[in-house]
Amino acid sequence: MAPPLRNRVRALRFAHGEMTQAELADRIGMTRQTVAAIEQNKYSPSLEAAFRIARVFGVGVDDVFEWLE
Amino acid sequence: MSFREKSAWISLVTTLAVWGTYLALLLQALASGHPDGPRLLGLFSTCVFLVVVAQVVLSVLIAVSAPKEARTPADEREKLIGLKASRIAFFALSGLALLTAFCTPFIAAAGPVLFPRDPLGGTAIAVGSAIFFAVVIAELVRSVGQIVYYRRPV
Repeated sequence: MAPPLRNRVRALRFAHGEMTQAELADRIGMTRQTVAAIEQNKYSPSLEAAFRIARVFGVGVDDVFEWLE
Repeated sequence: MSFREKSAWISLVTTLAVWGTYLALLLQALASGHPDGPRLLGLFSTCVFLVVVAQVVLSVLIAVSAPKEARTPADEREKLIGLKASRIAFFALSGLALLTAFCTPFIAAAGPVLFPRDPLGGTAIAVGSAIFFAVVIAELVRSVGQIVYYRRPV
């Protein structure tokens, strides 16, 4: 079952010069497939990875990930 | 498909192909009632060689086709998938090892009937093979587990 999380990774990528999944993956030290899994809510990243993603976009973790309950 | 998912497929396919063939030949030998130990050992060694060569060659091929991915260390999701698949494989191995231990006295008791020429040798081959195939099945479970986890939420 998917966790009650929503994320804006895809939207933020597009807002940052249409960054590709591969580019984001390179910048956070992950594979493109893992970035795709995060975007599809098939994988909840670790806190460290969440901060890395947020830092790439220059926003806070709360602006990327949202707890739905 | 990621480099490590391809690796899991390589492990699955080569293990199935090589050890499946070995199992068929082994069962034939056991069913004949007089398994030839040295011949089976030679066959086993050939299969070990084949599975190693096949996995190395195929791994090199996928690494050449995606060198950057091959050089990149496993990320946290891939490590988690590996751990989860290994956990399931451990349970499979434990269960099969227990099953083999449970069945051993029955195989030994049936030895003189199943292998009239050499009951002790035949029983040893049967039990040793059962232990080995517990490991093979655990490896298959691990590969399948990885492939499934790569395709569903982790």
